[in-house]
Amino acid sequence: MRELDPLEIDVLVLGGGAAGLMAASVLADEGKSVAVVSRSATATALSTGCISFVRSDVFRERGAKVDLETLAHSVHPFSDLFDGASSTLEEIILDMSAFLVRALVDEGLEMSADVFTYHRLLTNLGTSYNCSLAPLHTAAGELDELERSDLVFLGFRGHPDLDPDLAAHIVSSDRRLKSPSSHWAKLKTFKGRTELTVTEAAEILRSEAAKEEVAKVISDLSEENVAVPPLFRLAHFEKGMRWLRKATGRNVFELVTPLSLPGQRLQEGLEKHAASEGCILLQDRELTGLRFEGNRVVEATVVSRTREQRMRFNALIVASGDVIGGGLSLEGLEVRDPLSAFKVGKVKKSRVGVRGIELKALETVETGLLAGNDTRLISKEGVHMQNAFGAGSVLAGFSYPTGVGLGGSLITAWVAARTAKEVA
Amino acid sequence: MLTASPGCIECGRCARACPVTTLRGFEDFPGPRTLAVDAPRFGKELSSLRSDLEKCTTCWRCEDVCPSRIPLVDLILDARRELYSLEGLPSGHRRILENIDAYQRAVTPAKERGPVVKASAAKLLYFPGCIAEERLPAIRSSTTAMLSSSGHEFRFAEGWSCCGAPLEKIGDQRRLQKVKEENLKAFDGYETLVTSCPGCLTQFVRSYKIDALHTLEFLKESVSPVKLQFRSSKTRLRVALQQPCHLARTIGPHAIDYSYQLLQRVPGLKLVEIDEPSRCCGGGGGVVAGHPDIALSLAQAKVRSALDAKADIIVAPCPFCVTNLGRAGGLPVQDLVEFLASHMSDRK
Repeated sequence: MRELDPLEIDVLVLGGGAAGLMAASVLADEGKSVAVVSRSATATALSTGCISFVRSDVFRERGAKVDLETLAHSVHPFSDLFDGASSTLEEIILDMSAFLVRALVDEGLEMSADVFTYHRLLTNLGTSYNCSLAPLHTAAGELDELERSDLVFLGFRGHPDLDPDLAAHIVSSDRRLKSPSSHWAKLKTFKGRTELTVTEAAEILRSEAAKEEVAKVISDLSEENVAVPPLFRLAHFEKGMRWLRKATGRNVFELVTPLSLPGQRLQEGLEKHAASEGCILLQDRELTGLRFEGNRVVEATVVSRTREQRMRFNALIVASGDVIGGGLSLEGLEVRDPLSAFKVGKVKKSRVGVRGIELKALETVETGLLAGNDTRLISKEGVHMQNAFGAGSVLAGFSYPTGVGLGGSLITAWVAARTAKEVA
Repeated sequence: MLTASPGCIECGRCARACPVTTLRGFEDFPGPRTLAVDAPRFGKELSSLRSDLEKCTTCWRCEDVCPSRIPLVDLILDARRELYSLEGLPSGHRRILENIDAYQRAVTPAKERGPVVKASAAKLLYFPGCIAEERLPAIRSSTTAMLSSSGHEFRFAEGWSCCGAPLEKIGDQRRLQKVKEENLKAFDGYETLVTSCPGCLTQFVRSYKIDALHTLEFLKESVSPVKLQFRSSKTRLRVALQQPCHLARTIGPHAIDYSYQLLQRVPGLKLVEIDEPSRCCGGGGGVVAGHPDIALSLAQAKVRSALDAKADIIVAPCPFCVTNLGRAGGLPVQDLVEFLASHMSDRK
């Protein structure tokens, strides 16, 4: 295989999802040279784009507010991981969130900025969804507020993300809400097409004519709160939603929707931020080799389809996603070489049981790369690596759903980056 | 006999990513999974799927997004090989075979020949490929001009044939083997093989097992920027890069990075990002010859995206993209190397 010119950087990050990009941005912000190697779609892009730091069962009481200490100790399994770390988990969550919210605002994605506010939101299926950080235009659909005035689910014929009748039906089984109504709109700008993809729909909705038409539909409705599916991509999201709210005078909000634009927006925002911090983003590459020297990893071999490239670095951050899948596996059933050079195992104990998950499945999702409490990875031989760190759901116990999805990924990435800074 | 491939989790990502399925709908093209996984699994009569199999542009997007990494494109090509027979072959495909038999080219030869380069013992071999040789001679002349002005001695392979990429897509094993043998003989003595065409390049790398290079890889890696100086684009051109499938997804994304880096060296031009720049233009897989209406609608969608991005010109490092996007009309389209050559500075 032909070789490309070797790359020398301070830090190599494997994986370009939320964890990898967060770690990369933090380190680039500290003046390190960083390359991010990634392949294919990330779980972040498939996510709801909302971030949680706490498990929902902590909030059984409606409208409960929590202090950070309760919040931290309810988080599984972070509390264990950070015993003995220099910062408390509380500090980590606050600092990381502040960094994240600033980073996303820079790229045009405004988030509800207060980690103390625990959002109860609605999904596009009409079920409720709890999270700590959400885009502003999603957080505008706070369930507690919706209980006070009337709500309509607005679907668009041909748009795949919302069946308003189904959502309204599911919500009506929740006695707390007034019976919401549903409305199907037929947009002329969709030209009678019955099966648009979300990206196609977003492409059409960019135009002024399409936005005017949507605004007209909303204005003709009588309800105060209007729940819509994801309509805009990142570049048009803030402007588009603001305009719709202003033009109609209604509380137009986006339903929490996985496998759609919200996850893609978060992914794109994080990517754009990492790039603006000077990170080299090498997409569609594959790691094929790692070279170890004692307790350090010193070189990686990365393949760009038909060309090999050697990358030398001072620190390595492994943020490559689930090692053994919890339903979102992107790598089949085996631990991929050369990551198998690190020790794979299960987290020692579960503090919180996960309801509704089979024991066997739980065991699987608790499996991952083992790390010390500062996210330093452990080699297969049991050596604590000096300059290799794990971040995100590649770590044992952080795979969704025993972790808390993006929240857990981002927190571990923050800690990995802070520690890696010292050796890079 | 084709075998069912294990590991399909039926997530449907291949179909959602397929440019033909998403543009034309399932009725027109059932998508990669149906053709490559389900059909063999359920013992479906392959022959009934022949026309559908011909509609795949082999853009490799499906394989790229497949979480189980099923070699969908190779499975589709296997099926085409299995089904190959002259009978029932689309007329466009039949013409390709006739041209190769008659002229060693996938297309009929141009009436006027490009400048002849003297035979030499140079170790650098330039393979323009059928389209640059016979249809878009400016690619060939731009490339030779850039190689010469940067001080690289090169030669053409005497008596070269079509690389065989179209034959592989049609499924004709016998001719494929023949052109491969002819070329290996013609290439004798080379050290580095450079080509203008991602289709040829993919064929050389995957089938010939030759570590060939696209011209732009060679320009980026082996020509000093001092010898490759560009003058300013006077009109502040807005340039959209189409990322050819057979560079981005078979040769490697580094080639796309190189394309942007080379374009960024031209002062005064503005690179504009089109929606999904690596989405297939429709020019590959034998679809232009077999199902021209599909190839055209993909090209039209691409040109629309470029117009949306207010591009003045689409640039692609691929003769097939240039030809097929040109069919859609609406915007000028130029090969990347040709575009760069036209912006070369006279100062050395």
